[in-house]
Amino acid sequence: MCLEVARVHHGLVVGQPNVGKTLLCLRLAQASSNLVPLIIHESPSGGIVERRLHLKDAISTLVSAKPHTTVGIQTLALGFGVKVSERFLLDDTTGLTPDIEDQMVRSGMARTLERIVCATVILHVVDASAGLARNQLNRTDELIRSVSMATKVPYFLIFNKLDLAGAPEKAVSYRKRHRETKIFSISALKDIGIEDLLDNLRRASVVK
Amino acid sequence: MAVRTDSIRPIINEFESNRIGMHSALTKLQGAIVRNQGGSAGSETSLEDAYLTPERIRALRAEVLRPLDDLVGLSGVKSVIESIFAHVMVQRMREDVNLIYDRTVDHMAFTGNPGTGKTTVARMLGQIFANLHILTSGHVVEVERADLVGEYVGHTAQKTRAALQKALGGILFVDEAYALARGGERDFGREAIDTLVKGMEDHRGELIVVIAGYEREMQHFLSLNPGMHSRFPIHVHFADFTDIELTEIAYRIAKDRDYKLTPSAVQALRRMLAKERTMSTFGNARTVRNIMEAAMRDQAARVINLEYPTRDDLMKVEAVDVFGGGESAPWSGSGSTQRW
Repeated sequence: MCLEVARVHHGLVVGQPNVGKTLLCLRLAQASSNLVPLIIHESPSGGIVERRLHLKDAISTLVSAKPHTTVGIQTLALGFGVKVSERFLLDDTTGLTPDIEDQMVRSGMARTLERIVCATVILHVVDASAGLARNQLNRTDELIRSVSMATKVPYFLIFNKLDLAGAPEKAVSYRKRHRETKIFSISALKDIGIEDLLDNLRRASVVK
Repeated sequence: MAVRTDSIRPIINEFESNRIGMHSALTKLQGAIVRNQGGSAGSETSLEDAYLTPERIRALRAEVLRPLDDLVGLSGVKSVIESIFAHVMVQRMREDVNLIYDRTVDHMAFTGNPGTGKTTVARMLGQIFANLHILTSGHVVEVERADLVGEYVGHTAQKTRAALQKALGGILFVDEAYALARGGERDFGREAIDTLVKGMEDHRGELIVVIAGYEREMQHFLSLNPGMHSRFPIHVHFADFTDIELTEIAYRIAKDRDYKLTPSAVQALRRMLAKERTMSTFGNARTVRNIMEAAMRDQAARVINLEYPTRDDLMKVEAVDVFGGGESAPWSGSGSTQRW
C-alpha cells in the first residue's frame, strides 16, 4: 500500500472534502517551479493513469467547488531536489468525512487512510472560514490530527481559505491556543502563504 | 515509519466494506499506530476508549444504570431512564457523523405517593447524568416551598435564584412543587415559579429541574399555566409498590444490617402492610422502613432477656418483633415505634 520508493519524501495532504487540498498541491508545484507536473492518479480500485498537465489546465480540470472531485490518490512531484534523496512527492487524497453515500468515494477514503502510515510529512488542510467552536477543530479534524500525531512524522496544520471573512481571526486564535502545533495560514485561491509553506517542506526534506 | 502496514489492513477493510464509519476507522487507526510503536509514546494515548462501540455502550449502560437496576420494582421509572440513556447515546453517535445533535436532557416531573422512591431516584439521576457528562457535578439540591418563597417583596426572587445557583451542574429537586401555587394571586409562590422558569431558560443545559409530588396535585399544577407542561416534558410516574415488592424491600433492609426475617415475621409484615395500605398515612417503602426499624428495636428488647443469645438469635427478627411486642395493634405498646 505504501509506494516502496526508498529515500523519497512523501507529503500526504489530508483533510475534509472541499477544503482545497488539490489546489494547494498544484500551488506548491507551481511555487517549486514544476510548471508541467506529471500527475499520477491512482483510482480507488488501484488503476493508475499518468498525465502531464500544464498547471493552468490542471487547475481547471482537477479543481472544483464540488466535494469529492478528487477520488483516489493524485501524486505529483515538487520541483526541487536534484538528488533522489531530496525528491519530494505530494500525495493529494480523497477528502475524509463521516457522511459517505457513494461506495467509490468510500473506497477512495480507504486509500487515504492507508497512506497515512506511509507519509513522511503530513499536511492537514482545514477550512479556516468554517466554524471553529471554542478554538476546537471539529470532530473529524480532531481525529485526523490525532492519527497524524500518532505517526510521529512532521505534522503541518494548514488553515486554508484565508481570503474569506472571519478566517484570519480564527486562524490566529487557534494558533494562540495550540502553540505546540506547526500552523500555516494560507489562501490557495489567492496564492497567499504558499512560499512559506514550501520553505518548510523543503527544510523538512533536507534535514532528513 | 516503523508502522507495519499489515496491522492496519483489517481496519481499512472494515471501513471500506462499510462495517465501521469514518470516525471509528480513524480512532482504530490511531490506536493501531500507537500500539505498533510499542506504546513508547506516553503522550499519545489510544482514543479507542472514548469511542462508542456496541460493547462499550453495553458496558457503559451496565456501569451507569446499575444503581437504578438494583432498586426494587419501579419498572415504569426504569424504562423512562432507559430511554433517556438511549437518547444520550444516540445524540453522541449523531455528533460523530456530523448530524445535528442535542446533548441536553429535559426537565422532569416526578409524580407518585410518598415513599415510592422519587427522592431516591432523583439522587441517583444526579450521579448517572454526571457519569454521562450531561451534568458537570451531579449533586442534588432538595428544596420545598419554604426554601424558595420569601417574606417580603424581592426576597422570593433572591431565594429562588440562590437555590438555582446552588444547583448549577446538578439537579434542583423541588418537592411538592404545587405548594408554590397554593396561595392566591398575590402569593409570593407565583414569583418563585416565574423565577424558576426564567432560571431554567437562562441556564439551559447547566442544570435539570425535577418537580415532584402527588399525581393529582401535580397534574393540576402543570395545567395551571399552559407553558408548564412543555417545560417539564419528561413525566415519570412512581406507582405504589406491590406487597411483594414491599416484602422484598423489607428483606433488603434486614440484609443490609445483618438481620434476617423469619417466615412468620414476613407473614406478620404482610398482614401489617395490608392494614397500613388502607390508611391515608400509608407511605410505601417508608412505611416498610419504619416497621423494620421498629421491629429491630423490639427485637433488641426481646433478645436482651435471653440468656446467652446465639449469633442466630441476634440476627433473627420474629413475628412478635414485627407486631411490636405481640400487640394486635401494631403501633401501640412499645412506645418506641413511630409512624413516619
